[in-house]
Amino acid sequence: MESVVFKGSRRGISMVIDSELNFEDLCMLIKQKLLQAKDFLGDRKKLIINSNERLLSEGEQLALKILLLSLDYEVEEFISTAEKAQDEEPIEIKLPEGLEGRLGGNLSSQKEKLETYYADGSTLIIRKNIRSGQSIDFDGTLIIFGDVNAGAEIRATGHILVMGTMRGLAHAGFGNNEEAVVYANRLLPVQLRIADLIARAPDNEEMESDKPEIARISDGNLLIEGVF
Amino acid sequence: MGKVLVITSGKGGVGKTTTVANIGTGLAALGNKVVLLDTDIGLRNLDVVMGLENRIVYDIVDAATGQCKLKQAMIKDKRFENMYLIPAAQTKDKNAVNESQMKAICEELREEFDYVLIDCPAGIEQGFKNAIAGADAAIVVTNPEVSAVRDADRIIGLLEANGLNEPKLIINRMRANMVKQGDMMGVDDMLEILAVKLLGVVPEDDNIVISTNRGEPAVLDQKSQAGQAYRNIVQRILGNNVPIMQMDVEEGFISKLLKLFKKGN
Repeated sequence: MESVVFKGSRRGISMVIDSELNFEDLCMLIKQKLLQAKDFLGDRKKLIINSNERLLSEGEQLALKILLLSLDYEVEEFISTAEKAQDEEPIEIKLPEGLEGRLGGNLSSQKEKLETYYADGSTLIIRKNIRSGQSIDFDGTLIIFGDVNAGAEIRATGHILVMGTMRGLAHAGFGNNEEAVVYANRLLPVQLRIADLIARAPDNEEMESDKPEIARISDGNLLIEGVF
Repeated sequence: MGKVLVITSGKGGVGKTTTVANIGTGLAALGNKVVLLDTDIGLRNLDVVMGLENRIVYDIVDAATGQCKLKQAMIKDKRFENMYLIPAAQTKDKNAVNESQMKAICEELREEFDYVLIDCPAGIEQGFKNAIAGADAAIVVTNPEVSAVRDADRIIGLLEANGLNEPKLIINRMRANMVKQGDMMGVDDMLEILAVKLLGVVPEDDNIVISTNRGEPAVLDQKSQAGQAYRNIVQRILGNNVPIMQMDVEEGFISKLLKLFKKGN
């Protein structure tokens, strides 16, 4: 059975995922369900994501956090029975210093800033490789399931998440949104832009990346670091 | 109903024409009815590579614009009765034909032939659009060079945008020893970037230069390594499962000796 349902409990509202869909389709389904459940959820904006027997990878958890954020919700925590079998504690997502506040968790301080960018709650999910010569411009957050190749250009006013290899040019926070981040499973861009900052690949070095990385602005500098 | 395959690359000089000549000849040698269509109007080469230049009377522009019948523009191959070439015009340019004319030609040819192979010009302009207009499937040729791979990626994107999904890749002019030394992109590196299925890997082979100049496709040369690679590609086009040729570098006596010493340590 493929389902995403909402359940209330003492701890709050859970979004229970009982699905073997691939992650892209799951994201689409979750987005659809959240929009449908708008009235039911009302102003309960913090959700527990219970993925039952499915174990969500760290990258997938981050993608869901951003997806929910873009729809004006927050992830309270991720739980799954798969994880519980080995470890009774529910898993907690660890984000780099400073990012936790931005992407979920205690959002209060940063939220007002973010809302201006996600007021329309728009997230575009793309499921294909973006090849040389192709470009994507989007007003909101962009999640790409596939690779972005060298010679491709993607621009978003919000975050950019690439659930694949990022080799092209990414511009997140287009229009001066300094809170935006660029995430990729492998981050090997020719050039990276966030808001009005530009960083380029080093000249005489071959870039390597074997772990998910995230780029963001920190103290006026563009910073790239491992996610987990 | 035959298949219409376009052979394309984006970048020039990667070996499209050589590939068309060899695949076509390979298919014809196995008894298939084949027609080769040169769409590189203004820079025609396929007739030279096939050794048929001296037989040209009418060309693709004449056929497309109704100056002659399609049959009149078809030149029978020297070696195989079941293979024909429709040459490009040399004195006109890419705008001399349009996409609907190309489609009509492809439709007519597929009625009679098993395989219609289209030699696409370099670039992404009108010539490219003409070449892919009537095709069912595409073969992308590239070299193990960053610039060629970049152009191949661009072309694959354009093919997909035009409904030619899942193009197959031929990597031409591979030099196994350079890959081994880390001086050339390997097959896996290229497949990772391009994310398409591999149709074959053709090694760099001096015989190709000789055979191209003589107008005798290497696919018929049983001793040529590149010829073997093309024969394998032909088998894969016919739907047979042939493993990709492993191109191990032959080790010299000295290096083998050195290895022995190293093992001893």
